[in-house]
Amino acid sequence: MTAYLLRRLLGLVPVLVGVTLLIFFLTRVIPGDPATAMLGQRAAPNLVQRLRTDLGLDRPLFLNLPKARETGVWTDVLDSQYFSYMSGLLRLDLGRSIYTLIPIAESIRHRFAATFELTLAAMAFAVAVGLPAGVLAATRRGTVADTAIMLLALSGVSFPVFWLAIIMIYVFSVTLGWLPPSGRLSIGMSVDQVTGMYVLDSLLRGRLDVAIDAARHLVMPALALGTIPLAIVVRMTRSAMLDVLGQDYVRTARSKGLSERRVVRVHALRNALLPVVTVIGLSFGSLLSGALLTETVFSWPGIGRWVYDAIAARDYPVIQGGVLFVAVMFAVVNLLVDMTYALIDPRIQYS
Amino acid sequence: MPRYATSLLLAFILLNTLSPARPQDPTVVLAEDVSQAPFVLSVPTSLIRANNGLQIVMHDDGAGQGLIFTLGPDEIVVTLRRGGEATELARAQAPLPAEGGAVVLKRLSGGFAVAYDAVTVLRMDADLPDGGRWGITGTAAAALDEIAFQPVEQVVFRGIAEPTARLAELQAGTIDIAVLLSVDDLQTVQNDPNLITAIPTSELNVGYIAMHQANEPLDNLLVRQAIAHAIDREAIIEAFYGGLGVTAQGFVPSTMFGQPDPWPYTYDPERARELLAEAGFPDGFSTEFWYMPVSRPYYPAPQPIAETIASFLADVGITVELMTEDWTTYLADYQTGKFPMYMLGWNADYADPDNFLLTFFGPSAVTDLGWDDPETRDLLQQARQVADQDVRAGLYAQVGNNVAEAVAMIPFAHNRTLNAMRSNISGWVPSPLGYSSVSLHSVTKAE
Repeated sequence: MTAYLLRRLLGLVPVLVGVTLLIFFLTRVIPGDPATAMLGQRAAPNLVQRLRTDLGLDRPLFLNLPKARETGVWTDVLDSQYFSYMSGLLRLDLGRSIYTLIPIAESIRHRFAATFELTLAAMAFAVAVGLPAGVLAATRRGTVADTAIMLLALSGVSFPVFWLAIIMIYVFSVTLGWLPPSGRLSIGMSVDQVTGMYVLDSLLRGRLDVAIDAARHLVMPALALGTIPLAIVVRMTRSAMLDVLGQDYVRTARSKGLSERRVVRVHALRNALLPVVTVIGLSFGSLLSGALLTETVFSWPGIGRWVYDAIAARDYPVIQGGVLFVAVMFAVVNLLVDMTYALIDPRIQYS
Repeated sequence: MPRYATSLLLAFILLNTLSPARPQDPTVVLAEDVSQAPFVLSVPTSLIRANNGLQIVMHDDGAGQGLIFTLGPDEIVVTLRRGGEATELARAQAPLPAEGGAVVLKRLSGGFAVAYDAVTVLRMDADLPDGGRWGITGTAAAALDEIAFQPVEQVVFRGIAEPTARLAELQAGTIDIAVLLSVDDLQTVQNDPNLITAIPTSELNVGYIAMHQANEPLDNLLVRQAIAHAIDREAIIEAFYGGLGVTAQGFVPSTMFGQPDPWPYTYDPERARELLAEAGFPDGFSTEFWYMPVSRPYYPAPQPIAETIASFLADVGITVELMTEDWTTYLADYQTGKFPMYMLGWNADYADPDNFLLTFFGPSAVTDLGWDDPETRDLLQQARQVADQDVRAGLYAQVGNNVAEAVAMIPFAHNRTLNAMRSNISGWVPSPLGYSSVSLHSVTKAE
């Protein structure tokens, strides 16, 4: 198991190096750079050039051959944009945003906490509703309940999230006034940050009022975002359950005289969980990489919008740091998913 | 104006604007949400006096760090705070001007400026103590998430990216003022008894259609005249500007001095066809027309507007292929001559024809339009060197007429933005310079 884990982690290294290369060069082949983005529509060319020099954007991307030739020191070849970035990375320094000069690592910490809180809530909703609904649909196959559940699941994936989000805001905030339309906390409230997840932090600090306020802000974004994994979980659970319910061991369990309840819960569901856990893991990973639309509509200060805005602004360090972080998250989630297989199915061995 | 935020976003809340002054440590908090919004924040000197000083803190969401502007009665100090440590960056002695003035913080392309009304007291483009530069925040980072005047007044700025979301917040009563709403929502705002529209009487912007003369046959004057005659600007403005836009007669907004003769090319498709035939294109021609990927006050719905323009052009035989690309790329590309025809516009940085005409038809006209006209450039330089407004008006009118004669570009529209506030707010007047200039001096909020 440990050997397996180590091997998986080692295997990550080339993947991540590949990611840095890809992101580094992709961000630079698109026309327009931070200097033009910053100085705007009618910037004087000499100012753009000066800013470029200030930002180190006039250095070669990959190998600084001219400098090495000039100084005669071969290591000067590495005085390029990519290798400066990589040497920072090896020192665990992700750099700073070109615009705000805020260290990337710090932004990731705050932004990720917001995204993580939202993702956890959305997935909790999707699993809590999706698993029982999927099981119900499978055991009542062909009934009205089955059709209704599948129809809802289908609409879950079909409705665009931003549309659903705006409808929710109009119904629950504008018309009924039950929930706040957007943001993470009401004006005038504040949280002593520990983890950056407001509901948890305020509970840790014993501020029930703040926790309730934060939770009220979390409800709509989580529901809107949760509809996508919800639909996937329902459909996956249903089909996996149907598959398992037709197996010999389920018939055996039934013929042993076990209650239907026990057959479904212990014998069928546990065996059906494997593919479901896989999709839960994958959805979790993709939600963590940022739910751009949900974050935009609900003004949720998460990873997705941060990277999106950085792309428009050509904030290279933010794009590089943000995407690399997302790649790492994906890899870690995948690894965790693989690990949970062993918990569900003891026959699975890691070697 | 240097540049709009990619998705602009300012909606703000006024809370307790009328609460009495308490001489405690008043703090103004400005926080991110990162967009590229330029901004101007103007703080009344009375507020500084009443509290014997005021602090304005700019920081990231929850990260105990940022720039602090301490505006004392006779001193300004700029401090950088990072991870609990504070480093002084700059300090200037500057007695507050008389009552009624204001201290203005402005984000510049080189950093920040702190100014008392018109006089700049301190301009920041200093290096950071640890060697990094902070001053390069040109159009940078802070869309203002939260700003609080405490305890005298409290104003909270919130960045809300979507116009629909801004309107929803306003309707729900969780914010008091929302800027830059979609014109489609004009009816909704007018029908809501809790809301009042706040539309500037005039706004200093212009949207235009440019033709780059490095591209045949756009180098042909007759062809450019034909294009100008082919487009029914009035009809498009009536359809897409919600009654807030006016057809541009030139490139200087109509409320300013220096107006040229009215734009001579009225909608006349028959004349357009004749001109094309005369130019040697009786069957028309094909070219590319690039439209903006983002909406701006002067082009509230770029894609549908571009489609309509294309259909007017098709009517006289000119086939345009509609193209667009990412906004930052677009801004880099239009200067290279990549776009034969394109739409773009301008929001004024300052209220003077110079800011429009020199910007468009000064030296950059050669790269942006492929139009090299030394006479016009001379006129623009002359106008910068005389103080007499009548003389300047004459020079700018002449520039406008030269441009019209050469059809160097086609002026399209001046527009006004739809902003709205809750009915218990009064005294907020949107600036003719657009949302990047926010003045909250006389705003009051009733219970």
